[in-house]
Amino acid sequence: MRSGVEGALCVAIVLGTVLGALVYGQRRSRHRTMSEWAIGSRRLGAWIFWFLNAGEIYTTFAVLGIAGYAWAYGAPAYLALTSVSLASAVGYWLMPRIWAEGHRHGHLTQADFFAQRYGARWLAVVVALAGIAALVVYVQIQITALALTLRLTLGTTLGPVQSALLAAAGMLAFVYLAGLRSAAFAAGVKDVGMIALVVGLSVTVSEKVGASSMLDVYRRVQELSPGIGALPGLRPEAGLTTTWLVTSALNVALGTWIFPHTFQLIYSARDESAIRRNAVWQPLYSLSYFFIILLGFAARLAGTRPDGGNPNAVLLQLVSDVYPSWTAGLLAGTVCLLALVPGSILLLVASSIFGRNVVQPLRGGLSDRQVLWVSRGAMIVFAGIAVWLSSTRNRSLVEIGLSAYAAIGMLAPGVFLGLVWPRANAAGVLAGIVAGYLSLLLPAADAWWARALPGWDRGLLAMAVNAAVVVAVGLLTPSRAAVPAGS
Amino acid sequence: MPWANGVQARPFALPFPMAWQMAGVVLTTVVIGVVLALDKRADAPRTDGA
Repeated sequence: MRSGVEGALCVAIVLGTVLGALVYGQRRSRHRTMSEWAIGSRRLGAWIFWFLNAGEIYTTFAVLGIAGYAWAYGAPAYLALTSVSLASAVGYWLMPRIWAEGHRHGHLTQADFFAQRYGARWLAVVVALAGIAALVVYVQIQITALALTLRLTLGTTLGPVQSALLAAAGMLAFVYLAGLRSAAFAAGVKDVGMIALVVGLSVTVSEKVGASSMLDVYRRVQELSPGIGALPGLRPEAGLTTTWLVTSALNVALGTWIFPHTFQLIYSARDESAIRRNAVWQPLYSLSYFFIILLGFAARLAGTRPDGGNPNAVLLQLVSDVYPSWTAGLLAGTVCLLALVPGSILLLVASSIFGRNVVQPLRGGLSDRQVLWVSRGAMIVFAGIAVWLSSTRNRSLVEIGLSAYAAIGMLAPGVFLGLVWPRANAAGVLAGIVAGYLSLLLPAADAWWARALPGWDRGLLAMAVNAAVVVAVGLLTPSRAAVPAGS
Repeated sequence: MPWANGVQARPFALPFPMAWQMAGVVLTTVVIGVVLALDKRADAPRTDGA
């Protein structure tokens, strides 16, 4: 591996796409205001919305993470299938409501929603910071994946920290040069490229690993590794039981739409019916995990040994081992885009929230332009934190993903209860966030949960604690003080 | 899910829990599609989130 062809192709794909995206972005927009930069001025058509949303499925989490999970653990990778269907059902109900509230009141960010619903600007600051924290964990996934791909493709002379820094620098450069409209183009390229690659690899992989068909790969892997097909998978000691699958999938489903960038995606849709149609088709995208899990299992048949047993590297290693170098180059280039584009969008969202909901309320009187510059500066700090997080612990992409969902789940009770229960109030939401984070992060709480409810997803438990606190405070507050929903 | 996890059958050579999940995905699409159709009939005039 690491031939010249592989590296050259990888670089060519990334640079070609970025250039194309820049030309596309330049043509489409001449003026740049805060709202243009952040949500593309609400004028994104249905097809761009669809691509951005489909791009949410074809992430590094999905492709590298789930393939690696299938290889390392087996059945726990089904989490991808379970959670997407549940998330769609939740989204069908939730998304039109968020969209309608956003349009009625002109919200640009998630924190705007909280500020207006709970009538408290200070709550918007808290929510903005909590949202940014979750986004930074999410960016960590992209940086981990991009750094890994750079290291495997361009040679291991790069240390882990250097490659993570390089990855972050690439994302920042992309955002500074472009914006959401250019990202839409790059997202389109990576989606088409990824679909083509996954289909191409799936059709050919069985032959490469000595099986007669895709289904034969599944048959053989179950003979080779009994227990791979059912929970708790290949490593029972990891505690990935059916309880884990159900609770994790529920937490992912409830958290999916609460991410600040998902809010902004919803706001950028043209109308409610586009959003609803999208929720209908969303689960079907997840059937493509059949191919991703197939590739993970195929790596097991091929006896793939990634460097240091890192599950995140399994897919790249497999393709590098059994395919010609041009295929490996194509995959590496597309995976780079897969991490680069969402990573950039996430940083952009985090920084625009920081500018609008943290800087502006705390330091009024700044011009639009000054706020734009402050948010761009904050982005560097966020990227730096994500690099630091990715260098402290080497974890699988799925684990990092579940941490991000646990973090964003802290805002879920405020959104759901805010929409359906008029008595939910700002003090309750704040108390809920604090209680939730304590039960998530305190070592004592962790030990207690492990004894009381073994196998349960900590994020879901923390969300339950959080929601209970919001309800309790709501009930204790005199009802006339509450703001009616939808006012 | 706990029930499906114990089934040993292998439809199309797939592990049963996986086939079960995939069937669930298709079912979800159908169900949400039906709900969408019902909703459209129920509030056809509604356009701008009013």
